[in-house]
Amino acid sequence: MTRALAVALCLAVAACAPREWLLPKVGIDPPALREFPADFTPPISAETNQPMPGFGGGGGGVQRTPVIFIHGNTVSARYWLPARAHFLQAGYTRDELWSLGYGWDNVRYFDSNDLSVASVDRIVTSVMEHLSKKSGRRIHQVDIVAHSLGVTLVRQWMKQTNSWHKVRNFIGACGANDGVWAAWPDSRGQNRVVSFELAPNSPWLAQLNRGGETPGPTRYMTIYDGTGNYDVLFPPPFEHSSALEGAFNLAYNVERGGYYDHLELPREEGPLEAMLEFLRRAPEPLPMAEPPTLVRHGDTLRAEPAETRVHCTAGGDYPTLATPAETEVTLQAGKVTTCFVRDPRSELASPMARYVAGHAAPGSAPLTLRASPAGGIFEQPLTVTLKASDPAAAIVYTTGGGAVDSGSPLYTAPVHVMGPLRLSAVAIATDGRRSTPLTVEFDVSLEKVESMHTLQRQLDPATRERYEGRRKVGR
Amino acid sequence: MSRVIATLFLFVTCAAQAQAQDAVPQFARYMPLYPGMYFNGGYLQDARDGVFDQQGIKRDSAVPSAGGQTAFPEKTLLGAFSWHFPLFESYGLPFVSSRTHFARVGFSYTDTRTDGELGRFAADRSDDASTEADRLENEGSGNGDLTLEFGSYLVGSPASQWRERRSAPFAIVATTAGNLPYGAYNRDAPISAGSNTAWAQGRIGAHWQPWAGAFVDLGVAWREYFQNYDAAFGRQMPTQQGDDRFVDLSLAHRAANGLYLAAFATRREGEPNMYENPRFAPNPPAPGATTSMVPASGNYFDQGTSLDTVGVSLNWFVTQRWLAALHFVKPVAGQSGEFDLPYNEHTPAGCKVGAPNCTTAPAGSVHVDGLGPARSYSSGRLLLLVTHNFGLGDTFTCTGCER
Amino acid sequence: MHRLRTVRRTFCTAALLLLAAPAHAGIVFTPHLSEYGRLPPGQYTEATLILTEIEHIYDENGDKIQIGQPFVSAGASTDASLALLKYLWVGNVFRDTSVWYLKDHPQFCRVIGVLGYQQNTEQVGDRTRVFGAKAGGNGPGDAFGLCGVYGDEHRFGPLQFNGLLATTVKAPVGRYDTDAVLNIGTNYWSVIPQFAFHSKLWGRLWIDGTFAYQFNGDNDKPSFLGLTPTDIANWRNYEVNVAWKFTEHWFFDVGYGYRESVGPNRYEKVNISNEEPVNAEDNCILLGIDRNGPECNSTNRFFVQSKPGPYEDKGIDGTLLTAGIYYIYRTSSVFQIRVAQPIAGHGSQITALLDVYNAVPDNNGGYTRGNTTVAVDRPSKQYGVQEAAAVSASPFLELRFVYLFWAP
Repeated sequence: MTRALAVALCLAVAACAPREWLLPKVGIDPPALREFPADFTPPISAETNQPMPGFGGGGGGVQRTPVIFIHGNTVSARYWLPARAHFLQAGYTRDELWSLGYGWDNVRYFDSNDLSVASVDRIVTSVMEHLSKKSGRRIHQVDIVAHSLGVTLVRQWMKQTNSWHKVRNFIGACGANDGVWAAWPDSRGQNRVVSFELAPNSPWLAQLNRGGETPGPTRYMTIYDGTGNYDVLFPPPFEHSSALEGAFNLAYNVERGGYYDHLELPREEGPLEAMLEFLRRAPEPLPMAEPPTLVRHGDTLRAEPAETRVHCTAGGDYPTLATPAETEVTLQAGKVTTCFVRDPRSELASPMARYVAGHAAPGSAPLTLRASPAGGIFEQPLTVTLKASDPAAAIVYTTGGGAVDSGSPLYTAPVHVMGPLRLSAVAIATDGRRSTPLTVEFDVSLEKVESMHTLQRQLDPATRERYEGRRKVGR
Repeated sequence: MSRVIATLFLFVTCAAQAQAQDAVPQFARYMPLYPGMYFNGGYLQDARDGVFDQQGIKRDSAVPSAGGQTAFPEKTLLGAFSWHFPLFESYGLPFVSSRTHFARVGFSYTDTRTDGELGRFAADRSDDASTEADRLENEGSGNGDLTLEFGSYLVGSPASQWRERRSAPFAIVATTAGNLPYGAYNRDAPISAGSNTAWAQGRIGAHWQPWAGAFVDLGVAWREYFQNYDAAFGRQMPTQQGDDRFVDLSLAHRAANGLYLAAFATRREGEPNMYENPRFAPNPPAPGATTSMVPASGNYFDQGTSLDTVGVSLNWFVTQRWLAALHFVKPVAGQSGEFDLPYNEHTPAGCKVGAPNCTTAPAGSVHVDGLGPARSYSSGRLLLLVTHNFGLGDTFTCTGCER
Repeated sequence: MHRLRTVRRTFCTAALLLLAAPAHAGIVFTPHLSEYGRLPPGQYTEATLILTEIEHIYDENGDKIQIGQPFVSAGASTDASLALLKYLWVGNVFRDTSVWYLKDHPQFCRVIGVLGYQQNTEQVGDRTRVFGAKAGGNGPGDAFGLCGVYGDEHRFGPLQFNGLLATTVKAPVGRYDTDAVLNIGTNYWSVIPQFAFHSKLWGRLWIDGTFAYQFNGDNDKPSFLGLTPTDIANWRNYEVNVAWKFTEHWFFDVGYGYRESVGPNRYEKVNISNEEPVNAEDNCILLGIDRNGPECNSTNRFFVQSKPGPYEDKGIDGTLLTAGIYYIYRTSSVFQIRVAQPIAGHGSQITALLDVYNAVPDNNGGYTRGNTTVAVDRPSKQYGVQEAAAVSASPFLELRFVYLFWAP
């Protein structure tokens, strides 16, 4: 009896163990959704260091702007299989529909926005490159449909990597754009980072929404419950947290009489049809043109080619599609001007760019930039202050891991760092001079917490701390 | 039902000292720890072959009144999980939100038996047919009781500082505790792993670090016992245990990196225990040729119990998360519960009161040692204890991992 | 009288076990809020504390009987507490495979460990000593293991629902003493297939229900004089729980549970045999023998010996109402308090046949059973005891704490 119970217990434990952990121990690759063409190499997940699972490709060619589906927290690309079926039924080809799984696909490892920006960047890049190669023409834009965490994640990716021009349409379903009740600013434990980020009124959300909630040439749509009853993540007063100012906001259950909950909504026929309606408003077929560029002549900005138009705002906010289009824009002295160029025929656009007009004093010292704290390992989220040697200079920064450019977020307030990330910044003087790019690494680490507060260190704080900033690699 | 609810309230809102914690006053026991989960595991060994009798005299038998020598050797595995945590941290609730708290659950497994004279008495099937004394047993091993504890730091662990706090030089904690008597309990054995007795306890503990590496911990506790409805071994174990008062003091100092030496002392004072209708004694008066001796019904009380101990411990951090400690506890004074049990002589032998021709007459009394919690053992005990902190309550430390 | 008290006390305790059994099963019975909903994949831990003081039980006619009355002084009760430690895993082992059905229907498994305390108050405890029975039973209970699979989720307008199929196995590893009136363990296996559903209406009203059929094995070592069934009837269980969500943090629920045996329990090893003689009056009252019988018209003492059986009862049933409140702390913890009140039931009783013998002094201060039969095959109404036979009529209180280690 005892032996039988022991065997049963072992089997039960084995069955309950994460197979992604268990199966490799016995030399078996864990099953995963991998519906990709043979010539497509899935990007490596920034979280797991493994090729991303998912689906995409499979024939039919690329006539429309490809759609990339970005899933939410703790799930993976399989979440979007019903959506793919619906889109296929609506006439999309398999080559036009993609979804790749970022993150851990496991509730024990919650995904977060900042930590997955790199994965989204790899997803979009890999799909565009693959389709460009396959179709023989450069694919400049994709449509993105995101759900839940994917919404704020894609928005953060577009902002931190200045990638709005790559996204023709963005549909955010059930996103926590203004926070979610289940996230707490004082969370603890493994999954705290996303909780810090998406807590209502969190500084991270303030950063995300600063300068406008619908920047750039991208069309925005949100779709969500709106009743406060069916999506358990957005009860009152958060029932419209998913909406974005300047977007086409569809509180589906309110306006269309639906009853869908958080997981159902973006996978049901009605909401999917509403998404398709939105996507159809953009001209298709896929534009063949090259994107326009923005050229500065002195204090004047022009678009090239000449038929394209410039969208600019002064003062730090982002221009949007609603920003009046002009043939040329004169920079205002002392003000930061943010612009993109858009071709009204092809709807292709340039990356966002910023300009600071004015003239530096003769003999001014070299422009420098410093961060405080200047990187390091921290237990808890922190606030980072950037300061340029020239107070009149504008500072742009990114936490997306890539290079900073003028279209990166404008520094107007200290940057809240919630998780481990690389912050790059550059100061731009009024005469156009740029500082040497500053890159600082922050490790807001649970491992740091763990090593700081071992039992021995609690009794003797002078005990050597074991964590030296070498983060563990997952799986 | 009200009693149950009251008990329940205590169980839930209060806390019991986990057994691993109660076995010895581990140094820094009242120190507020960083929020997370901690585990204590231990192995305790005690010969329990001597006691301090009611007069405080050290005796070389655990039950002197049984004659000869008796021992209740004990080997116990102890375990306790503890959680330190803020509660409703961002809610602004008075008292609750502004400090850290902790909860603890304790469990054990005890291997014990009765050796010596009392064991022979229990095994003797012919000693007293008119009572249940011929059905006695000697096996009391099994899982121990489950203890629950909840505490709040009154001083020294404000919720606003727990994330960055590096040390807590002074703290005061208030805890409440309860015992769920789930432990194996053999009504017919002199000793059992479980107590069959629920209790509730309140405790105040103070922690002080007068200088770096020095730790002073002082605690006082009050414990009230519920009734044991089925007092063991013919009710020689108390039916109603007297309230206990506890004091513990530990002094510790760091001797080297990761090595701590500690000395401690404890005192327990118990109110008199009540023994309800004892059914036999191992030392009954001798019956006549045609008579039998039967204990007189009634409630009897001892004069209370007490035990003073001193001890030392060697504590060594095997790793920063694992603390191994060897404790030796030496009882130095005490008082066990004893009472006089009156007997009646029944004629003819074996007759029942009220039966025709059955007469009874007082037959003097015998001195009986209370069992179970009434014993204050004089034997030294050895405890090997390990403590582990899991940290933050989860075992997965890879947030974000590769960037 | 001693035995009757004991029997009834035992019965009461058994009734506790009856209540405890649902709690044991956890996911099988007395569903909680969202018990059968498709939970997010992950691991869930849970601790439940059940407390009761049983003062009333149901007899075979459905009458509510005060424990031990009129044979035990008022105020006697059976106090008991159970701690249930549960671990639940939800996930999909077959995810992303081609295994039919299972590939897109998550599975779940649950193990439940039990610790318990059951003790009669002292009046009854004292009496049990006379019959060589132990009045209490503390220690580990049986182990429960359960696995199942979720069905599809469906929606009809504001109504969303899903089903599940599961099977629980109860392994009789709990502490069990054939001499004990009360036992935490049951000493027989059970296999419990179950269908359950979870539904939500308007996102506010959460309904969980189940039908479970419990196949019970045999208990070849009945306890307490053979008054626990040896051939335990199978059970049918129906449970439903309706919860209302006031806010994301507060829920209130009411529940209904009905359990009935399928056919009678059988008792094949009844061994009512007192170790000490009882007087005639006690004997007759205790054993339910006609008070005008010759054995009752005597001042002598007697021994009794039952025929072993088999005997059958009329089956048992019990109906329970529950009400509780939940508080959700952050997203990681659930605190729940619930009261359950039995509202109807039928307990197990059998009519045992007893032979009554005279008592002969043994010249050693006691009595032995004589060879003279005072009465033969006297029918005596006896109560079946413990969880398979008894039905409590007293309320119990349930405290439950669910913790998700992974939730922020």
